Amino acid sequence: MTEQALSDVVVLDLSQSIAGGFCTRLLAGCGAQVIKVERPGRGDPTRSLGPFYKDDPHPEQSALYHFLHGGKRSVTLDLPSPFGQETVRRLAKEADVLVESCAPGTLESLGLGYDRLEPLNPALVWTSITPFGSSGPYAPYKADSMALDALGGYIYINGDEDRQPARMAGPQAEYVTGAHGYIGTLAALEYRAATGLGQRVEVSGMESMAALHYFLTVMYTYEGEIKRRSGNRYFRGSTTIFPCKDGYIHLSLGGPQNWELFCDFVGMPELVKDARFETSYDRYVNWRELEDALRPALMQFTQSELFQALQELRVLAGSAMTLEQLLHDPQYNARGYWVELDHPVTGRLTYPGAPFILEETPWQPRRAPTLGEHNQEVYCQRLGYSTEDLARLRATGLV
Amino acid sequence: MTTEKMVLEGIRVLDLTRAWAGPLAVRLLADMGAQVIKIERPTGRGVAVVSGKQRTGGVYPGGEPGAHPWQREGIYNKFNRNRLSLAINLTAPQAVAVFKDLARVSDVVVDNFSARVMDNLGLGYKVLSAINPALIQLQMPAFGMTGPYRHYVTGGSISETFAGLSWLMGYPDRGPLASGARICDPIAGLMGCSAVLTALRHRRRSGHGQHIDLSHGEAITTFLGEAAVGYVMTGRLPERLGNRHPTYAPHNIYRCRGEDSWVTITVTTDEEWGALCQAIGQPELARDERFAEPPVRWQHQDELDSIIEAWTSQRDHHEVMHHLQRQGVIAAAVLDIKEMLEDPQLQARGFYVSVDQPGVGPLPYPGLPIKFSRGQRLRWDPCPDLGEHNRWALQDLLGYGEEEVQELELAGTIVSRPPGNLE
Repeated sequence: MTEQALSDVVVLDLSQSIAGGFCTRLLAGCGAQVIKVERPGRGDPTRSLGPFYKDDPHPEQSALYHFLHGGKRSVTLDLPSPFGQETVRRLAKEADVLVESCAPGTLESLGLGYDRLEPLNPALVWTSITPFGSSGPYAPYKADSMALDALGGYIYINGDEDRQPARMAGPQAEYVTGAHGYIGTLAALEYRAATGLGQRVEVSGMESMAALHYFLTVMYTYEGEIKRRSGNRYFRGSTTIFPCKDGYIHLSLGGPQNWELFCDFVGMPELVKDARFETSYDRYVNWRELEDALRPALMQFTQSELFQALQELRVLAGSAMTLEQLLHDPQYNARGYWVELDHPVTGRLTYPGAPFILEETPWQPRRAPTLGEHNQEVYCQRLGYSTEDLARLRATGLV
Repeated sequence: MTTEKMVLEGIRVLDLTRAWAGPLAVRLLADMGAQVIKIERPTGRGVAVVSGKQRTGGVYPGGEPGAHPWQREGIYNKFNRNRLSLAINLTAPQAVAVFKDLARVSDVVVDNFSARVMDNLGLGYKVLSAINPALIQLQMPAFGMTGPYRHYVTGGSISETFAGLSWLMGYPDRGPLASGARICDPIAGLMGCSAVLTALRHRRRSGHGQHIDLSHGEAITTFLGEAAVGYVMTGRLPERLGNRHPTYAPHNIYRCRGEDSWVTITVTTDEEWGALCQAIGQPELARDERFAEPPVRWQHQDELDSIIEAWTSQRDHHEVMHHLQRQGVIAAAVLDIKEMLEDPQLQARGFYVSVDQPGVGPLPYPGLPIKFSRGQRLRWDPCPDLGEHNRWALQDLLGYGEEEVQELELAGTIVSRPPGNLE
């Protein structure tokens, strides 16, 4: 097997949130040995979330679990029990990284706070990923992705002007938060390599979302404008989604040259002279008229015809792809994005692959574990219990 | 306070990025303490054409670009803080030699040009790795460095639509929605920064750098991973559900008192459902058969939503959030940017940092959402002036003599203000 960038990194994953799971997903994909602690019996909460393989609700068949926990080792442990606490201390002593997503104060109340584990392993990087961080008035509050979309400024500006605003499509806010967790963890490992010191890294979901906007903050602080929703249109430019023969095409019609090339291609060169659409800003303001003017012409083309032809002219264009279309897309397939993995319960299926290509140390696509699949490896090989001990721990429900 | 080393202090990055995704990836590195040299075009920071109606791209204090627009553009300033600036025309042969000298003493090079540009400049990975085998080079064109679309160009908006996000988002009765915030570029930027840090970790052990090929599209599709696996597992494309959730109910955005004021509410368990009924003063709802269990609640969510909105619409959205959260129900006020800047949580955490930008003055900007107990940045430097560090880079860092630098200045290869802005 090719050596991976993080092959020597051992991660103790106590997180139960989607954000925490995405952070350790990235760690596992880049080669870290991630020990994921799950509740005995029910396992990780994502195991009970649909959709499920063939619509059959089963803890080994959740799409979210399969995606989020690929490449990790699953261990069951009753964490709040004295045995659970002792086991966490032992695993943390040997680990490079601990990732957790508990409500602030939870691990501390079990005697497993950073201040208690740091003396056992001063080189430990402890990454805490929560919706609001451990301080501030919202620290005890709960959040799902939609709540982070709302508080991070994404919903107010998302959707049509005259309608209820819209949330993001799925758990993107949690993934964004988890990605910050990954970045913080790796940066802390780099610091440790330089200084020998571990530390506590803290990521807030609300801040993770609030940090990323393009124009939102400065449009207000510089110009006093509070941005509202503007449908598919963006900022003050002429990029929006148009209907076409078999779907939709996203076009960016800014810049005089872009606009001329486009008008020629769709057979409407007269639009270039039309005062209503003279500048990119005009096209932004008069977008309804523009859409009406272009509709008959765009309806002559499929999204794929528009995409290919306009891209060859270097006009910014992109089809509105469905996941089904992406699974068959020549670009994704030429680059080997989709991967096939065999799973003991669901068999061979296609999964998303690497989010980035490290050419020397590539991402390793690996399947998600079954519940407690690595109990033997972790309890017996790593912690030195006998097979009989493990059977006893199972019987008592501690494992 | 001790002068503690910042987390990434000692890492030197050459930043050739433009627009958003690239500068964000590098801003994260810069905010964590890497020394970043922004390699800028001498023609300025061409975000905006600044004459009259044509100005659509930039954001300026009071809407006025002023005499030095390249110092006053807000988006550029926001993404390019904590950096050093070398303004150099890379199409000049002497500039390519300068860049190679810089690459020799740097750790990371990042660009988000279209795929052919760095090779055309003679600065592809083959060339740079021969000069410095420990160098990490991140390239992040829209569709990646290989494949039939490698030369295609997009803005981030378009990448997100291509990558499948728009199709899944928005109203059930309408076509695909492009996200108002265009979350595509941030996702590509986060993955770019992640990839660089991963390669740094590998270099710590092996001593080798490597080439990183990042496609915006693939990064974004990865952020739809559960939906892709769901499609493969069920054979059905996920429905565009608007603000509802495939499993949980209630799960929606409800109107509150005041203009365009909203709150999100999510119930994921029976316990939370009971708490919500109590909180809105209708404990009997918890015993109502229509809402007894998650699947029936889901079926009756139209009725549920009107009951809840009748309650929220009489109240302020902050009040609803605090009241429900105190009862253990997930609720969040839909904030606009003014409310975010005034938000007590973000203030308590010191999230917005004040940066005194020359030509603009001190203003709050989003800080780093990661807090390090060791090596946190304490001082936030503004975006540098164009070419502000030309002499530092050439003389202090590379040891060029005065004559060599003057030659580059005279030839216009390095500049300290855009040509035509001579006052």
